[in-house]
Amino acid sequence: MAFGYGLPFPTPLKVEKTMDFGIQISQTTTIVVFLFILGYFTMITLFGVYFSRFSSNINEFFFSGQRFAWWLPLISMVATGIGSYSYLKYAEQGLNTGMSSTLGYLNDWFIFPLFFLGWLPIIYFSRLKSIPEYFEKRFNRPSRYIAVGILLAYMLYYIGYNLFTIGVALQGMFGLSPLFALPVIALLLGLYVTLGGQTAVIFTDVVQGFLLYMAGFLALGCGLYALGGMEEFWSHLPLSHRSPFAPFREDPHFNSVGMFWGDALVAGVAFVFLNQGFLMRFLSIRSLNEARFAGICNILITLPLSALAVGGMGWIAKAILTKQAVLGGPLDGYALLEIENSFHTFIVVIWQVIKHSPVFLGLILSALLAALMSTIDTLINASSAIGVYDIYRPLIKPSANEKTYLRAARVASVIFTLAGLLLAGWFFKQKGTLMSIHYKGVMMLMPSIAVTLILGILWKRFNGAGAFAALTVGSGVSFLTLFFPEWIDPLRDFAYSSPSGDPIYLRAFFGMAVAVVTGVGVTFLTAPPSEKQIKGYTVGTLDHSMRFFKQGEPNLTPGKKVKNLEVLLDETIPQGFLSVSKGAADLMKAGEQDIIYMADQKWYLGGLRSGHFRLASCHKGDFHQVRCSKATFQKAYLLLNRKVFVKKII
Amino acid sequence: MKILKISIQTFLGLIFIATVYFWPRYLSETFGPQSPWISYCYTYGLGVLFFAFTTFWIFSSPSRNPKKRKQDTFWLFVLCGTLIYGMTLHGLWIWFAVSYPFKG
Repeated sequence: MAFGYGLPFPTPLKVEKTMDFGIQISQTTTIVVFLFILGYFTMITLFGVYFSRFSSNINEFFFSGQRFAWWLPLISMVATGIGSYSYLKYAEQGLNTGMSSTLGYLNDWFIFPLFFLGWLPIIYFSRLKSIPEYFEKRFNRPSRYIAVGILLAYMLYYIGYNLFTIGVALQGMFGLSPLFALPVIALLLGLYVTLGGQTAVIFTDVVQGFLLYMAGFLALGCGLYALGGMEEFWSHLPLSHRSPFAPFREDPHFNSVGMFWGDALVAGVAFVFLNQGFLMRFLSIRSLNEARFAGICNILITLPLSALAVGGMGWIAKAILTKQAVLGGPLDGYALLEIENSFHTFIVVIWQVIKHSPVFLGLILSALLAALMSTIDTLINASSAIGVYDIYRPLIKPSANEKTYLRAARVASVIFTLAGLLLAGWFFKQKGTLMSIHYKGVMMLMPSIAVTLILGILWKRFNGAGAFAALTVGSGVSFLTLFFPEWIDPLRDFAYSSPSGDPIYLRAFFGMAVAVVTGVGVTFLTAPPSEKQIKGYTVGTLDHSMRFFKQGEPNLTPGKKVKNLEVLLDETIPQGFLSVSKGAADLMKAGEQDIIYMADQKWYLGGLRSGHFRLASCHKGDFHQVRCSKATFQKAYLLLNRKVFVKKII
Repeated sequence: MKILKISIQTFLGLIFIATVYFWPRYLSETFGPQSPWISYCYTYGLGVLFFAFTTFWIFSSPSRNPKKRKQDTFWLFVLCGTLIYGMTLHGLWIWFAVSYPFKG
């Protein structure tokens, strides 16, 4: 990942290997599993259709109106983080290299100050809608469109890749032809993302997040039970498989030096800072502090749990194999575990430890499908955000109404789903090591854009010419190292990395170094950017972005949440404003024009029925009364006779 | 003040580059390349330096709003806590890994 989305495959993944899961299942089991999957698809499609009513404009379609409580996007981040292939990939990694399979999820603690104190406030307060938009505001238009190209290529590639994996999985389980299965899945996916937008994605991902954890820990529990408990598991796990870190530098495909530069830094920044889908989760949260809190909970709780859930079966497999060798046969009450192809680890081990139960298998395979699906829905929604905010609105229809943009967003979702489908077809024609192609892509594409973004956030002097040079030269030279890998050798020696093998991760370091040198050099040779250009877009100018966000002086005095209020409709209050009693305003430490969040008090809604409004002058009525117009009330999707709470945001 | 800030930033940058070169070599000689602690020290050594460098840079351009400064300082403490949590978690993990006998 960084946030673990970039661990290597020690054993190359070949297309031919993915055509079966390595288990033989009966017709009854197939029917039960199929029913589970059908139920799952029906559920998420109905979710999408239901939540489409909460997207009346493009802000709601892409960012859910920035209204959610911290915990809702946090749980949905689980499903986004555990993407397609996670179970298969990390279980295989766990079998081959042990607990270092968790590295991808747990090795990027140190990039978070820059994210929480720099990038997140910038993008939150500047009301930026897409990452490329930042590149234009901070640098210039050419930089924006290079960023659009890089990010769209990256996300489309992932959509195609994920669709491909779903097709392969269904083919392996049921013998369904991808030609038939993939369009059906793309249709269902497109339906709920296109109709529901970000709200549908978040709510379905919440359900999928629970499903993923339930399946992962159920499988882990069954594995530990089969082994005879935690003590037996740990004592039969070889020392080499217990370490949470990769070997230092010996293995060219998996070593700590490469993992630091490639996975923790570049893939980490790429996923946390530059993944439009992940960022949109943070931007759907109702306040910056809650977004930060969600991020901290993600680091401390959900990422370690995700690492356990997806990699655990690989460790269980290794311990079972060791114990079988010690016993000279299978575990008591279980069949002999044999893994001919490590790619099948997850399915084969689960099939053994759940004692061939069709219900458990159905549940776990539904979770596997949820993992595959939950990444694509985010990517489709994020790609269409870039399509609308960076292509349609600035280049095609700059001053259309909300309805037109919402329609364009839905059309963009369909287009990106179809493009992904076509790419999936292309993947089916590929031979060889797909995972190495995947990592080569990430490590080649992302270093220059990651460096440009970091310099843009931190360094006021960094200008448009420097950014353009860093993006073009950094990406260009990184691309050329695919043909001339020897260019990386001096840096490989300098960083003390593995002296042989394909330098996939060091390519990222090389790309970063080239981008830094080029960007800094060109910046010093050209004029500095104007104050106007950097205001609100660097860490040193965040005061300005807060003023921009509020359109006034920010009020950061901590106040209290005021609960148990009744809404009284009052058409004398302008739309977008609400009025509370003086007592309530004092408790919130809020004044006129401050931004106030009003939400239905039912906690489990997580802010689904809520909105941000400005505070009008205080009314002289009852303390437990909040007044607003009918239009404001409807904008927050509130229901009559339901208690609400109000809270000052800024 | 500005010169001092630039000097410290440049110094930290140079320290970082020097550490990229010397740190893995030093660790390799001290622990031996097979030690389970070498990867831990490498990752957290460079990681903490990156953490310190970016934090210093962010806080060397402070907000003029004292309440925002207070908020940022609070979150900095939280982030330091997460880093210590990570270091402790990984440290204990390695300690458990090496101190428990293998039955295979």
